[in-house]
Amino acid sequence: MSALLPAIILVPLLSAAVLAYFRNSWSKTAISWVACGSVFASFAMVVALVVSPEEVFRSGFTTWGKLLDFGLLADRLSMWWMLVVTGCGLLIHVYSTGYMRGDPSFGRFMAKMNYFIFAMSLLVLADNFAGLLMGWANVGLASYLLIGFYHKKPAATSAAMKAFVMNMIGEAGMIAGIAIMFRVFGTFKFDAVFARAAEAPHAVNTICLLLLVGAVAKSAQMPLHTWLPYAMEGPTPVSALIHAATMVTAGVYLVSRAWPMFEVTTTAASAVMWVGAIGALFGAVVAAGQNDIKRVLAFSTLSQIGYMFLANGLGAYVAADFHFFTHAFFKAALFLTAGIVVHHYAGDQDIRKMGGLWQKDKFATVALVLGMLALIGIWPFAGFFSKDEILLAALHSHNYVVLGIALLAAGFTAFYNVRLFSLVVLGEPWVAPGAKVSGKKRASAHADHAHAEHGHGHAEHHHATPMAQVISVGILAVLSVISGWIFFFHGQLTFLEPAFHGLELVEEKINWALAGGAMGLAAVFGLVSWMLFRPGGLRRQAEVDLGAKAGPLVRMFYFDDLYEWIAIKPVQALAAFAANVGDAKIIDGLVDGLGKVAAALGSGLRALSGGYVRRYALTVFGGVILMLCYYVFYA
Amino acid sequence: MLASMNLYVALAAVLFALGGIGVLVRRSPLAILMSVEIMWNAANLLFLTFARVHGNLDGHVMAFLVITVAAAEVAIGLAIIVLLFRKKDSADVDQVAELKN
Repeated sequence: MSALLPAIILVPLLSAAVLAYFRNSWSKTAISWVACGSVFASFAMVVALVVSPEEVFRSGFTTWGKLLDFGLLADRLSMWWMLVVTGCGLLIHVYSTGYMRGDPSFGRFMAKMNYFIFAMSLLVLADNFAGLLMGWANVGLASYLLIGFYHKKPAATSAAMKAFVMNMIGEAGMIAGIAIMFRVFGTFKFDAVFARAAEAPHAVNTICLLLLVGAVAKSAQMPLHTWLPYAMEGPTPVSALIHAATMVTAGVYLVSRAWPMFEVTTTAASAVMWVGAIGALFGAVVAAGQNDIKRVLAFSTLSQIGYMFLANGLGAYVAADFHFFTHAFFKAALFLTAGIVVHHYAGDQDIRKMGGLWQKDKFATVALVLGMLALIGIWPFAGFFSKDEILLAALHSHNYVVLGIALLAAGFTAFYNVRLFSLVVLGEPWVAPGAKVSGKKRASAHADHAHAEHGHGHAEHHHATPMAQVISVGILAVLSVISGWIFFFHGQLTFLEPAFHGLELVEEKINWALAGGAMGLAAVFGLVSWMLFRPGGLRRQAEVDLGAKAGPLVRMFYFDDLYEWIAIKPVQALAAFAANVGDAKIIDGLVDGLGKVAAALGSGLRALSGGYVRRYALTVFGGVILMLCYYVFYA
Repeated sequence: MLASMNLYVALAAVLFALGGIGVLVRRSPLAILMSVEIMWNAANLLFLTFARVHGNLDGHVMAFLVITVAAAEVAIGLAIIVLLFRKKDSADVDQVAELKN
């Protein structure tokens, strides 16, 4: 069975290479089958590992001397993650075959998606920190490639750049942490490092804080979160797979994976907790002010990953991984539904220009509502169980401030979800003031492809959503209801227990006081939101006013402006200095100076070659006389 | 013998210097050629002087060689002067400064 491990990684990589090579020559159907088939093969192999009675699989991959003993490891934690990466990945691949089919670069898209599955599998299955870092960097590259998929769109390319740079900051921290780790422990292997983590708690604390920098950048937590809203420039399946379900949760995986290290630290663990708590609240608040449907979901992802960090920081790793599990399904469902929704509005992602979705597409409405209920955490939807475990962990560790923040974030979650629901689903479809043809205006590139594909020209028409999309969204919507139910038989705890050997895990029962309180708070916030944003509500008109001035919420609390001032402007000034002074004056000055010296020498020497024969003769005579003088006086 | 040899050498030096000055200061190509001739002959005079001093014929042989080469040189030189005159319509070496700058 261990022999399957390399295959899980290599099948998507091979498929990515093949698809990249044949991206323009194979038919779209063939590309779809190969792309989905390879992910399905990986998924099937992961399922085979999961159902087998063994708990740990290892596979030596290669050995580079003593420095890097590179192997693959699938313990229960890795398998848990791989189930989501390949399972959710498979559904999103299937969705993409419908969603992206009209795009001329369909083959390129599927190749990149397969490459992402490879990179994420490498990240999750590596048995050492160096391998994890390789996967980490590869998912960053995949994310860059896919955010910038519409490479003719300047916003997309700059968003891709932004994501890459932000992740580089995180990777610099991670590399530093891993280097210190190698210095202290002399190995990258998880087992060896974890076994000796308690020996050097101070060093481990530093290492964990540096790893946290990487986790914060990758998981878009404060203060390195600014790339995530812009990453929504990528195609919607990318947002669902990479920027909601799997890649952005890699930071959660890192902390869960390195739990023996975080257990011996104090500062690093509480740093994780506070990052998570602040992120959970910040994301939920900002999501309430966003007007782009995908950005609302992006900030909700930020917020939910904050919950996972919070749980990790409290030592409730199982709760974090459980929330990752349910979140992957309902957030993917929400994103993929959003992809269907924007097709109904001519590709415009602005929720102020939506409304009346129920009349347009009942299926999408149902899927959207199921995802939202799971996200808010209403019993018995998936998010309820996992979020409740996190709240319980906060309660039992007596971190009441953090618990309060988490509850408040849960309230705001309900608030922005109800707002989104009211603006998108309810009311009349938006009509552009004074223009009937505005439906033809397309804001984003893929809308064109969708229109071309379906042969409909007008936004007013009902689109028949391709079957591939309906099936995958349907499965994900069902999963966002039932995936939390494994809680009833403590499935997540029983499954993950072997991975947290030596850690005391408690079987949590639902604390109805806390759960009821959280849902009650959600209901209050939701009700307020309903009063404000329902059709005819207090803020409805102001909210859909396109000319309104962008407030702090819309501007995402000015983080971009802050970075503009503290990072981009100084760097640009430095670049301008280097270009205008360093290059123009110093370097060009040196080169020009050399030229001038040569020119001066030349014009001096030119006098010697005046062109007059007499002068040449004089030179010859002079030379002869000088040589004579030498022989007469010195030799 | 020694004293008269010094005189010959001195005469050769004077001739050579005169020829050199002629080459340098004259602008007529013919005059330059003649000055070069004088320098040749200063060299010849030295060859013959030292041949007498050493009492062998090596110097004489070299002198004949010099005369032959000088004849060839004059032939080429005159040809160049003719061509120059055709091109420039003047016989001034300072007019031939195409390589200037």
